[in-house]
Amino acid sequence: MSGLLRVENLVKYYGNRSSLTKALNDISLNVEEGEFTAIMGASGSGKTTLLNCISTIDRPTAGHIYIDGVCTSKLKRNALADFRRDRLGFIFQEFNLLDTLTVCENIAIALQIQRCAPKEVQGRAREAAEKLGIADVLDKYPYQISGGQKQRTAAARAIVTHPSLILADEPTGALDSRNARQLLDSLEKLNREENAAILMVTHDAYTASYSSRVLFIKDGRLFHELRRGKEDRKAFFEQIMNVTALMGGDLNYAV
Amino acid sequence: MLFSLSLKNIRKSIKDYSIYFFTLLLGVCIFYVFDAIGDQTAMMELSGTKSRIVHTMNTALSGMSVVVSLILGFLIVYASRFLIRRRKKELGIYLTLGMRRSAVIRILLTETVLIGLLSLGAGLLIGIGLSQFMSLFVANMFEADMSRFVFTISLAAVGKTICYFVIIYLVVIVMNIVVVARSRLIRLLVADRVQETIHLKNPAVSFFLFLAACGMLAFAYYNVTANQEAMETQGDVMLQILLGIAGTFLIFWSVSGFVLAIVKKIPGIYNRRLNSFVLGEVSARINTSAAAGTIICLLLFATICILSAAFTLKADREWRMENQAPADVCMWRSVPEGTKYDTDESVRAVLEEKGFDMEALDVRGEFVIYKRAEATEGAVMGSFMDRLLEQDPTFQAMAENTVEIIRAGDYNRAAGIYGFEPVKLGPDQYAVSCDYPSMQEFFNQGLMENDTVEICGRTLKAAYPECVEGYIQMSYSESNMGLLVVPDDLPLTEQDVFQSCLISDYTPEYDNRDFYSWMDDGGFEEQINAGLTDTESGSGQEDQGAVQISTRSRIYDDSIGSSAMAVFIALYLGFVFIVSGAAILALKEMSDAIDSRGKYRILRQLGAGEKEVNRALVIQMGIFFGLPLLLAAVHSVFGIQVSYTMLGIYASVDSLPPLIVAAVLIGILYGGYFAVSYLCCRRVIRVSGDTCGTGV
Repeated sequence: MSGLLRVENLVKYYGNRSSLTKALNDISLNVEEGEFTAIMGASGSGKTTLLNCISTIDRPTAGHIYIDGVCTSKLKRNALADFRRDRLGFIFQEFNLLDTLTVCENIAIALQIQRCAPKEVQGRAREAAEKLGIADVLDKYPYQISGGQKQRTAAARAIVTHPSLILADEPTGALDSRNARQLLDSLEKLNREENAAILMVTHDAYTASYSSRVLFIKDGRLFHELRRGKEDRKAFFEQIMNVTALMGGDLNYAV
Repeated sequence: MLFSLSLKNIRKSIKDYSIYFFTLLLGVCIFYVFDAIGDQTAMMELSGTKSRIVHTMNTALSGMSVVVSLILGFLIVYASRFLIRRRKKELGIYLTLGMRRSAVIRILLTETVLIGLLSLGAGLLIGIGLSQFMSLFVANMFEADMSRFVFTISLAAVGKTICYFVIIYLVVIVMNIVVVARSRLIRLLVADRVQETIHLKNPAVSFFLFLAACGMLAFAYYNVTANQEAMETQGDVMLQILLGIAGTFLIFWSVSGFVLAIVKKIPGIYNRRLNSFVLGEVSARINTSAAAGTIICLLLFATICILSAAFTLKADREWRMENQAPADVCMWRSVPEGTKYDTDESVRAVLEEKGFDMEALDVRGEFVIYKRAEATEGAVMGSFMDRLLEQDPTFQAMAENTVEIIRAGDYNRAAGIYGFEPVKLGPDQYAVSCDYPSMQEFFNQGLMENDTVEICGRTLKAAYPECVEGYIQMSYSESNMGLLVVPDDLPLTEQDVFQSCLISDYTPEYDNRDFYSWMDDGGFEEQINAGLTDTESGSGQEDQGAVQISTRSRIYDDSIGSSAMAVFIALYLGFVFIVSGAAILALKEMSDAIDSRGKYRILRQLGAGEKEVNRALVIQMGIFFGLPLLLAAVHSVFGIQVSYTMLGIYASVDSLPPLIVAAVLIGILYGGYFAVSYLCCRRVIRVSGDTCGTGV
């Protein structure tokens, strides 16, 4: 029973008997503590479904997911919410910030949902914001800041509760390249300095190259796996590009 | 094909817009129930006095129906426009798919017709059901005989309801056609993408405005209650009303700004659970709700005042019935002034002469009332009247008016019969007896400045510094405009006699409904005063020689009738006001919930449980429903006092029970709307919760 995240023979079907979509077809994988893992695949390959199943937002058809040794498919609705709250952090492509709250309050809301002592909330939110370099926009509203700052706010919200696992769904999808680089630098730093485990879904090789391990998914199955080892990011990027070419090179069509 | 699309849409809208449907239903239902009262009362056996009042009430109610239909029409048109705005994208998709505008209009037309038919049908059915209870209530209020229960359907009311609502729906259809015909495709498609930027208010400015608003309200409150006398012209009163409205609006506009700023400083509250989210939502939305909040607050305020005033009036009348009519009958007859009074001019003599069955009466007292040319109101009030005349010459008529005079012995005998406080006069002393409120004030002021009056060459001194309360003629409200009580030995002559009075009870054999009816509904009038007075209009009140009567049974019927009438009209208006206000609020909440779906999805993804999310929703809605109610309650504290003054209710009754009745009625209706819209909103934000993340 080792590992932070263990996915065993995960299956997810959509639709009915007449038109069945096998979004996930028998996937198994492990993520260790402190690992920065990317999942790559074309649109429709099942990567977002996989993330949704892991994040307990969606329920798998068959198979098991263990996070910190807890089998999530056995949890009830309310227990699932608690589980998400306490063990998982989320970063979404569309930021999903609350527009009526300031940056600081957006970060704090995750703590408040956790029923953290009100006195600590402000301090911890500030601390998380500092880690992501957005301390100077704490009192601004989402519509007053840039996309990159929004996504880093979402990242700060994801880490402020010290979750076991941070799940990121196309975190750079709505960012320009400069902001995307800044965000990825921040995530890499979080991974390195805070030893935060990150599981990121992306179809972009550049984004994936920031991780230490890349899993390729095609048609609901695990296709290939790359580990970065001691190489630098550039070499890793080349390797990823090679695999995507091998997979059919259609990865970027989804852009 | 289009018809089935309309059907599907309706099936969807009834679920989504149940509040709209609920409101239509209630509107139809209330409209029918109150309209049907007319036909129901026609079937009841009522005394002449009561049926006259019922007739007046039915006229008033049907007049009110016009007002109500205008209010409901406005509400329904507003609500449907609101809903069509929400469906712009859907309409845009139809048009993009190549559907003609005329086809889209046909879809909307079919929908409106179907919803209209459905709501009319269901509303009428429920209305007919409820009106059976209403008829029991009506019978109870008028104390009519309801030994047999009759199931009634008022065809006239059904027709009227259908007619009014068809007109309202026609207006809705026209409005919808205008929306579709004038819309541009691109606007329809991007309608829901229009972003609302949050206008932040400066907390200091908000606080200042809030204080200003409180000041305005306090000023208006003070003016309409404690400072009432200074309000002289219509304009003064209007100014207070305008101040009240402006103050209410400013309070809604400013309150969120500084309360948010204050609460933000308290992490113990702000950073607990989802409070920061709730406050953020509320303060972002209250800007656009200030106008709606004001309208709702004023509607609630009006309802509270109307309902509590009506129920207090009822309690007041009931109290009067016990206190103002202690004898069965009181008769009086004016005699020609300046001529010698003869005993055969007395009430008793006339009754005997006309063949009235004296067996019916158990006479308890007979008096004469005098008038003297020198005993005018001006003379009684002295220097106070002089000052009044200086200010306003129109008081001249009042100053010249002679005051009725009665001997102390007679007055005290009447006091014994009626059960009020007798007077004690020393030699050369007099008292002023008066119970009509505004005259009381004049006399009290007059007595303060001038306590002597000269009658029959003798100077009398006031025995009491204020008016004493009492009366000779029974009436359903205080109507003794002033009566000088003078010592028995004052040399009043028979030339001075002005009126002859007789107070009596009925003998047991005559103490029954038939005799009451004969006395009150024209029989007595016909026999005694035939040829003297115009019995139909009753305008012969002061006709010389006619015997006027005031009976307990008539006062009783009058009190019951008039208070019941007030209660029905108040209920009708109150229901319609609350339904309108609450429906606007509920629709707004509903649409806000639809707009906020995404936010609740985010909260769920972050791990907020159902309980937490529902709590956040209920607090928000509680604030939006509660704030107008709270402010309306504060307004009412003062408004109710004003309405009591206007109705002439002077602390004779305990006003708490009527208030409780009003509060319960408002609570049921307003609370019902709150509950229904909470359930709808919860469903709205939950629907997206089930599919969160998958479809994106």
